[in-house]
Amino acid sequence: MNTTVVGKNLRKVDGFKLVTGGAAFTDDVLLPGMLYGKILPSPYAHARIKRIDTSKAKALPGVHAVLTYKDVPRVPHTTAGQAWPEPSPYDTYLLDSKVRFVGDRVAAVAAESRALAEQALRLIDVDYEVLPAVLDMEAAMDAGAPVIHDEPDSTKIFDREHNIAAHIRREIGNVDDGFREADFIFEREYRTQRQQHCMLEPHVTICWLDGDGRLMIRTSTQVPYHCRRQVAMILQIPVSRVRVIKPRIGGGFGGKQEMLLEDICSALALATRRPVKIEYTREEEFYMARSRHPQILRMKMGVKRDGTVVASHLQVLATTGAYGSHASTVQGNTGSKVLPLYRAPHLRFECDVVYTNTPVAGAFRGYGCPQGFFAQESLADEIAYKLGMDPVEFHRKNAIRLGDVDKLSAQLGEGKEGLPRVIRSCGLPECVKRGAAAIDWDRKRQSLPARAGFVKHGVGMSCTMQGSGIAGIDWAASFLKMNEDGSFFLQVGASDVGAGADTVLAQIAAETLGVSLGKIIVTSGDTDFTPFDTGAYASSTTIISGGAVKKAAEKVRAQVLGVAAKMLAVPVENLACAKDEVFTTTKPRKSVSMAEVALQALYQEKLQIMDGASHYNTDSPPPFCATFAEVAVDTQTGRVRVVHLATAVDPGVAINPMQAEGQVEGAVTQGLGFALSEELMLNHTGWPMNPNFLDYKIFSAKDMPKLTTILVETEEPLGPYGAKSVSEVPINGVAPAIANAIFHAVGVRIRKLPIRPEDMLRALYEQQPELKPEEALVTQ
Amino acid sequence: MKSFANVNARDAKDAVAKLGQPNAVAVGGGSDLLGMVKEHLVEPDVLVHLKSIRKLDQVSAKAGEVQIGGLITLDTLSREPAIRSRYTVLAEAAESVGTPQIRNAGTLAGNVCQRPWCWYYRNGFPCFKAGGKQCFSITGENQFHAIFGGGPSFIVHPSDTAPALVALDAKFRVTNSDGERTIPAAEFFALPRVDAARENVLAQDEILTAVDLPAARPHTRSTYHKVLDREAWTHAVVSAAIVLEMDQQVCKSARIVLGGVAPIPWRLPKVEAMLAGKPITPELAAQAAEAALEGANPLAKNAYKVPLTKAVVRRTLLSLATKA
Ligand SMILES: Cc1cc2nc3c(=O)[nH]c(=O)nc-3n(C[C@H](O)[C@H](O)[C@H](O)COP(=O)(O)OP(=O)(O)OC[C@H]3O[C@@H](n4cnc5c(N)ncnc54)[C@H](O)[C@@H]3O)c2cc1C
Repeated sequence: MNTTVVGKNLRKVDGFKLVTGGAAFTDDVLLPGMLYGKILPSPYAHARIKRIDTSKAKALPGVHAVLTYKDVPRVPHTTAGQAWPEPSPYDTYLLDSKVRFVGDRVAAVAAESRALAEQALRLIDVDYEVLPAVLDMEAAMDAGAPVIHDEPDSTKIFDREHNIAAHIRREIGNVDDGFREADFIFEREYRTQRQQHCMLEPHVTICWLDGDGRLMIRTSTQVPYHCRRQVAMILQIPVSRVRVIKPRIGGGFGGKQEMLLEDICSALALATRRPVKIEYTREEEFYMARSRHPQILRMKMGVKRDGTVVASHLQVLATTGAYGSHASTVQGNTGSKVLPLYRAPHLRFECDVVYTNTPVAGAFRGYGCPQGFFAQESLADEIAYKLGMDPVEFHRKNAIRLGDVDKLSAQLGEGKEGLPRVIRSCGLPECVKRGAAAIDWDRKRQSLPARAGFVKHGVGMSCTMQGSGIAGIDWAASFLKMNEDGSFFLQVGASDVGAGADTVLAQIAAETLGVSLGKIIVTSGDTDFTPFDTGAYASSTTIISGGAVKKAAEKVRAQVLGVAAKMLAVPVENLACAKDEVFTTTKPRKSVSMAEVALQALYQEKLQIMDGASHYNTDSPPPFCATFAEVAVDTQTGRVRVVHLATAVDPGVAINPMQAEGQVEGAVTQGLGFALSEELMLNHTGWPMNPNFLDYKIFSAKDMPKLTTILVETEEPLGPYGAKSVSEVPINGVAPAIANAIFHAVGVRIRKLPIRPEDMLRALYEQQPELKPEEALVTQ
Repeated sequence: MKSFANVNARDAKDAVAKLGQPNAVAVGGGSDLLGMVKEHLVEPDVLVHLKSIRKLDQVSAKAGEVQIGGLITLDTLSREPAIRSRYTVLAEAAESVGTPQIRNAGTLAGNVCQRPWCWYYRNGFPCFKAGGKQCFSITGENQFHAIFGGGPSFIVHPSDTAPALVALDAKFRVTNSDGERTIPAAEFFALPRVDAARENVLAQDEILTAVDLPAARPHTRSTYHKVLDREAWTHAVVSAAIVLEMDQQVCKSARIVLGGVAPIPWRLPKVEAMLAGKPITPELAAQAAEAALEGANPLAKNAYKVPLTKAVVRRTLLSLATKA
């Protein structure tokens, strides 16, 4: 494509401010009279508050408010930052008389200092009736298990008696017939853990009332508009009385696709009529925010002798924790975005998402896919091995391709029927080819395991996909207006959460308007000053918000050309714009600068050049990814080191390749932790054991393998300038590629994440030295 | 966090005097203590800062012996040429600690005296270490707990330098209101069955001021092997500090001390005796590793430490013995 701004490695529009420490983030402001809010977490996994006495806390000088369930409206809602009407159960309350996990809200205080607020919390006297708790998702549906949501006013819960927040069953073709057609059937169980986002900036919110008494919410969120709607509903005030301001965000990864502190912080601001700030500590972030849904996945695949997949059946049991935020939707993706990777005509997905008295799960980069792909891609590797096929060949044979229609997506929409997915661009074969080359696949598959010594090397791979926005639901608007100097204000509801959306959207506007990037000034994510956007999630921003920007820019360009046509006395059709000027495409060459056009419009024609546009898609084009890993397994200590990780991604056209690569590298880093080291551990009473960075092991710089990142660009007809998405898909394939590489290295299959040294050692001792015969290969 | 006063100690005697005040606590780099104060695990009224004591952060040699001031930072210690060359195990242990930030702030004495990092204790459970009457790990999440010497508490001693110092047969100089006493490193640490609330024999108003290392014998080599579940920023899953005195291929004497397996640095006298006077062959190393784990008593979730520790002992012995 012949572009001058799009596709270029331009610097982030907010980069200077960020690296020079400008007032960028939520917490960078200090409002006069600001109070510090703090939430009292439940020490019990499941309890009823029999009596709560706040008098001592209230009497402490410097304490301005203490709120309990008695002081706030009781409005069932979901904290999931989703488009209205949210498909998630309305099972959450601002404050409640029942607590459902260790860390659940009991009360909230606002005081003149953080220390005072902490002190006040300790002065709140609570009598709990401790209830039996259910922590194990496999026991949650049992008869006689404690019912976590026994309150009558919660709605949209699938089966509250059995703690089932959501249930899904979808099928295309006939899976039972499919298995009858198969020559071999493989079935395995996989388990994934509770992973936390560990974004650099914890959740933080500052609320105050402006001069008109309107509620201002400055907050670290991915979803300013959903947040505004939800806070208004929960506090029973009109939406018009609420403004949500999203400053720079220090990472969200899905954890901020959630209305999490905004409601309680607003309640404190309204109660005290003073600015109030609540900021989670790192410890609170671990168990009082959100995490990835732990799942138990039973994956069954039927294949022909030649390796053709005919049927897949995935059964998932997942826990959403104590509240159903994103329960059905994350798990829906575990089916809809994973199973269709193979072209099997018969697919079935079944899932129960259960409540347990554990920290709440929510949206997290990959949104259900890392779990699903761990199962599917591990099993695929096992099947290929059993059939004597190279996994690369297995994928070549079975993977979805250009022109295919994925019918499962049509059945698994966001909480309702979705839309069929048509593959209009697909770089997957090329991703596999280039990824394999980068890791030296053909040679290493042959030579590596033979290496002597107690450190064994192996290589493994996986193929994955994602979506780009939620078809038919995600939408965005943008607005552009021109300034005297030929620059433009771009207003978007889109939320740059650090991934670089402001830059990408400005690049799209600049390209379309024919101006340089510096001529676009972006304002984003402020509900008073920017138009609507569903938010930064589901890999939607570039394709959906970018689509809205392109449309608005096209309209504005038409206005620019209209004015220029008059100035140059040529027909509009003969004009184009580039490099900050409008010029004739016919001889003789004549031109006016953008600034001249702007001056003409503003002062002669009395015309503000401006326009806006809205945009949505009825399809969600998948980005594709092939992940190749080389590992070194120390068979004596169980330590698995990743030596090299090569990730080849098809993001459509990369609007800013440098940023796209950054997203890939960030995603695989989280994928590495998911595969090998990260797990939020709870003890048998539901207490988080490792809510800190010493015990919860994210990858450190020293742990990082050599990374190779390859962008395999394709042109997506539904995307602005051919773009799809990039930020989520690379996380999906890391764990299975590593597990498969481990098998290649030492002949041990690990089906439970994370693979810590102790897990690796245990598996080695169970499965080594002699490989156990694989019982699962059932010949019919 | 509760408020507290800060006072700087002028010298060791002054520090001890100041520690005599009610609810006073000694602090070196604060890398452990301040976290505990924030978590309300200790709530001192006064912090007595030892870093203000002059000359306690130095390494000095006299008559072959080396004296290390207790307030030396781990970073400085790990770079000290005399330590690197002749007491390699200590330099390597110091170097393996946490992160560069922790090594820049943390002191040797603080490292030795740090409190356990058991996640029950650090999460505020009322366990033995917090003055309570039980150890939650026994029936709980005990994957990082003791396989030797446990009971009634099953913590592991967290210090990386402690096994090295015991392996080097160091002597700890302790200052108290009566003056100074010297304690062999091995006797400094105390099992929970002696006092379940503490890890060593220091009284509340005693401080560790210096560490004496005996003159390094010729042909002695040493190393610290730390198994990590992340390449940095973590305590040892298990570790081994080994000092070998060699005569050509033959091991004249050995000292082997394990970390991460017991509530104190865990010395292996039986294994040391097995090795004395013999060339360290792969077979002998394997036998030593087996013997090292005799009597191990793993809990429900830490049995993996047994084969892991065997591997560490065998491997470290062999690589050290064959080192050029
Ligand atoms: C993120 C992180 C990672 C860590 N990783 C490791 C690791 O890998 N290996 C490891 O060994 N440790 C580790 N630590 C623990 C420890 O904080 C450091 O090793 C450090 O050496 C402690 O020294 P300090 O001077 O900061 O101790 P301080 O925090 O000042 O003191 C620690 C304790 O010792 C007492 N104390 C201090 N000085 C004296 C003295 N002279 N006499 C008597 N008592 C004294 C204090 O009262 C306090 O109870 C880690 C800590 C953190 C926070």
